[in-house]
Amino acid sequence: MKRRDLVWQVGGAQGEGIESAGALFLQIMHEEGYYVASHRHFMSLIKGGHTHYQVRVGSEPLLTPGDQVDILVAFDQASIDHDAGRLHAGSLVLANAAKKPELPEGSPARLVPVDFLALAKQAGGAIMANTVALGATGALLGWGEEALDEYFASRFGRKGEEVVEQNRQAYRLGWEAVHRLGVEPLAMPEKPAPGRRVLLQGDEAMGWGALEAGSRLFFAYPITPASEILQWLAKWLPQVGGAVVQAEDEVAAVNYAVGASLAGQRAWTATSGPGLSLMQEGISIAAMTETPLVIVDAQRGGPATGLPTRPEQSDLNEILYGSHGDQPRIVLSPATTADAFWAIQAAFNAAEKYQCPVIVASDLNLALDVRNVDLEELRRLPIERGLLDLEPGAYAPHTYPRFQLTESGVSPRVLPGVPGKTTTVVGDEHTVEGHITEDAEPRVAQMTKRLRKMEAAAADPELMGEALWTSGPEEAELVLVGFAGTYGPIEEARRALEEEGVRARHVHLRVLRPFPAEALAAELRGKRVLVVEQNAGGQLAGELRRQLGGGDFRSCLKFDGNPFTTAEVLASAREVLGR
Amino acid sequence: MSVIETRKVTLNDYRAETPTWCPGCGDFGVLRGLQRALVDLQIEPHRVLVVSGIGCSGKLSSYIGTYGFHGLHGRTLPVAQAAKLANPELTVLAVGGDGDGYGIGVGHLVHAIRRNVDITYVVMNNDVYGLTVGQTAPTTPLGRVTRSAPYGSSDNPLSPLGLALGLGASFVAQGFSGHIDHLATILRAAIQHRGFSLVNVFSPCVTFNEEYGYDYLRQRLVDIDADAAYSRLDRMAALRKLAETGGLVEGILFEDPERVPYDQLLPQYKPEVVAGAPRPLSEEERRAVLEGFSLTGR
Ligand SMILES: Cc1ncc(C[n+]2csc(CCOP(=O)(O)OP(=O)(O)O)c2C)c(N)n1
Ligand code: SF4
Repeated sequence: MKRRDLVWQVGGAQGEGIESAGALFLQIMHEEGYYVASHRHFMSLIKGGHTHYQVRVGSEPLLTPGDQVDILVAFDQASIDHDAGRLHAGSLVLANAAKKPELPEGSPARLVPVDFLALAKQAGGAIMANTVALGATGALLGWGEEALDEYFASRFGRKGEEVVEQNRQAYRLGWEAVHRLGVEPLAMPEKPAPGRRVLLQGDEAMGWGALEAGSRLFFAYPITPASEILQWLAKWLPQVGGAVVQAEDEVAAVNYAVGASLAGQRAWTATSGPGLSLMQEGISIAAMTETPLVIVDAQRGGPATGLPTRPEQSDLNEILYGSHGDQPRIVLSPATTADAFWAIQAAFNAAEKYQCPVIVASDLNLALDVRNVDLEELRRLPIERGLLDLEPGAYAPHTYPRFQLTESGVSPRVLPGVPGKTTTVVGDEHTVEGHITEDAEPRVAQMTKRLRKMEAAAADPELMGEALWTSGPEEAELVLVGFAGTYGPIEEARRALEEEGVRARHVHLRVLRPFPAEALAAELRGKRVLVVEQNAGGQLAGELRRQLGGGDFRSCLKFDGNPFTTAEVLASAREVLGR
Repeated sequence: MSVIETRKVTLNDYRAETPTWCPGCGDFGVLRGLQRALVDLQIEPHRVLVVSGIGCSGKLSSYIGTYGFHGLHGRTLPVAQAAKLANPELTVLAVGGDGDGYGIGVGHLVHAIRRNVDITYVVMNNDVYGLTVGQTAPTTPLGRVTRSAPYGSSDNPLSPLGLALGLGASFVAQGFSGHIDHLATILRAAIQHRGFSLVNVFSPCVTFNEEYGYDYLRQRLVDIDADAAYSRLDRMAALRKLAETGGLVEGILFEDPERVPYDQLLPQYKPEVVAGAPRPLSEEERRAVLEGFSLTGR
C-alpha cells in the first residue's frame, strides 16, 4: 500500500529523554528527504508529568503534525492512555514490556512489547533506551538492521568510537526484538523529489528573518514560547557583530528596544501574554514618540489565566487593544513557519515606515512546532527605512520640526548624532518641535496626525496586499476564518471538505491592523462563516463583528490546552453545514 | 579632505526652552552643572542624548538643548543603556528624580549597576515626589510628614549610595545643587568614567520639602573631594564615610577604573556594525546561518 504520510509519536514522563528521541526521529526523516511536521506536548514542570513528541512524515508539504497516530512509542502506560483515542486499526503501539503495558479495551491497535531499558543496558547503558526505541521503529518501518550505522557515526563521533558502537548495538537490539515478533512492517511514504529544505521552528524563522532585516540588537526576558527566539539569537547575533541583552524583566525589555530604536537600530523584543501586559506602557510611549518598535507576542495559555505551556490564542484582545491612550498600532500575524520569516521583516519595514509599534501575533504552535520548509519559501524583503532625515541642519536647539504635520501622518525622523537638528522627543503631548504643550490645538493636531498613519498604512498595497491568504472557490457555501498557527488544521479541513464535494473557502488573516475590512467583507458577504480560534471568548469573531458592523458568525473554539485537530475543525464545519 | 572646522562649544549651545520649574528649585542647579560639565568637556550637543523620566526633574531633557527622550516614569535606564549600545559614539545621560530612580525604577538601577554600560545617571534627589505634589519618596526619612503620610512616614529611607556601593557600582558620587562648581567637576568625572556612573544630587524642592533645603544641606555636607587623606579607590572606605556622615557627603565617593564596561564583555559585539545602517546578512553570513540548521540538498 502506498502512503502519503505516517505519524510516529513517542511519549513518556518528562525528563526521560522523550524530547531528544522525538527530535532525533524528526531529524533523521528530514535528512532522509521527507517532508516533516512535529508537535511537542509538554507541561509546566521539568521532570515527571506526561510529555510526547509527535512527528509526521510525508511525501508532500505538511500542514499539520497529523490527527491519528500510526506508530506510538510508549515509555509508560500513561502515554498509551493519553492518546488511545488517536489510534486506528493499523496502528502499532511499541510499549515498554517491563511495565506490562495494556491497550484499552476495544482498541483497534496492535501492541508490540519491547523492553527498552533491558536492551539499552545490554548495549551499554540505560541512556540508550531512545536508540532501542528507534531500532524497534526501524523494524516496524522495514528499515535494515544497519540503517542508521552511518548516522550514529556522524552524531556521536565526537564522543568516541565506543559511544558510536553502543548506539549501533542498541539500535540493532531494538530492531531484532521487533523483527523476532514477526510484525508486518508498515510502508514508508513515498519520498518527495529531492530539494533544499531547512528544518525550522517559527521562532527560529523570526530570528533569522530579523537578521535579514538588518536587526543587530535583541532584548528580551525569557518566557515560553518566545524564549527560543532569545536563545537562537544569543547564538547568532554575536556572529554578525550584534548583541542580545537578557533584560531584567519585560518592562525593561520593551524600553530597551525603544532606546535602541531611538538611536537608529532595528531593535525588537519577543514575549508572551503576561509579558505583553507588562510591555503595554512601553508600547504607548513608542506610539506617542513615534519611535519604531517591533514586538513578537507568542500566545499561549499564560500563568494567571490558563495552562502555561499549552497552545492558545487568547491574547488577541490585548494585542489589538492593550495599553493606554489612542494610538496607531500595526498588527501582523504569520500563518506558517515560512511566513514567520516574512512577518518579522515586514514588521521592521512597517515600524520604520509608520514610526509606530508593530506587534507580530504568533502563537505556541507556530513558535515551537518544527517542520521543514523549502528554501525558496523563505521570502526576503528589501529593507525600507521610511522617512529618515539624516542631513546635518542649522536649527537652533529644539526648533527642528520632528513632529511636522504631514498628510500621511508620518514626519521625517532624525537620529541622535546629526548636527544642527537636536530635538527632544517627549511622551506628553507636544508641539511640532517636540515641546510639551497642554493647549488644545496642537493636541488635536498631533493626535489626528498620529492616527492618520493608520489610514496611510491601510492604503499601503505592500502591507494590505498581504492581509489575507485565501484558498478554495470564491463561490463557496462556507468560509472558514482564522489567524496565526491554526492555519494548518483549517486548511486541511477545507481540503477534506473539497474532497467530499463541499465548496469551502479558507480566509486566513495575516494583517489585523489596519483591519482589512473591505477585503474581508467581500469574502464573507452572503456566506456562512465559521471562525476558528483557540480561545474561550471568541476574540477573533468579536473583532470581525466590531470591524464589519455585526455579522452572523459561528465559532469553532478550543481552549483545552491541546492544538486543534483537523477532525475537530471538520466536525464543526459539517455542523454548520447541517451535514 | 576638507578642513575640519573646530568651533568652541559654549554654554549658549546648550540652551533650549526656558524651564518651568518653581523659582529656586534645585533642578536649575543640576541643569547648570550638567551644561557646564559638557562645555568643559567640549562635547557638542548633537553628540549627547539625555533620557529622562517623569517628574519635575524629568523635564530637564527639554531644557538642555541636546538630543533627548522624555519617556516613562522610572524607565530611563533601559532606554539610555540600549541607546548607548546602539550608538556607542553618543554621550548618554539618564536623568530623573529620586522617585523615578529609587522607587518605580530601582529594579533597573540594580541591573544597570550589574551591567556597567557606559552611561551617566544623574538623580535629582529632593526626598519627595514633586510633580505629584508632595508624597513620600523612597529617600524620605522615617517619621517625616508628607501628603501621603499624614501621620509620618513608616518606611525606612533607602540609601542610594549604599545600595550602589554594595552592588559593586564602578562610579558613585554625590553632588549638591547649591554647589554648582563642585557639581560640574563631579559630573565631568562621571561622564569621563568608562562604565556606569551614579551621581546622586541633592536638589531641594522648595515647594514641598522645606525642611530639606539649601541651608540644611550647606551646613551639613562633608566635602570628601577636599580631603586629601580620602581614597576614592577604596569601596570599604566609601561605605565607612557614608555611615560616618549619615549619607551627607559631597564628592566622588568611589571609582573603579578597572571594571570592564558592558560593551567589552559582549561577545563579538562590533560598535561599527550596530551603529551602521541596517543591512541584510552577507552571503557568507547567510551560509553560516544555514549551516547551523539541518539542511537537505546541500
Ligand atoms: C507608571 C506611573 N505611575 C505613576 C506616575 C505618576 N508620577 C509622575 S511623577 C511621579 C513622582 C515624581 O517624583 P520624583 O521622581 O522624585 O521626581 P520629582 O518630581 O520630585 O522631580 C509620579 C508618581 C506616572 N507618571 N507613571
Ligand atoms: S515642585 Fe519642587 S521639584 Fe517640582 S519644580 Fe517645584 S521646587 Fe522643583
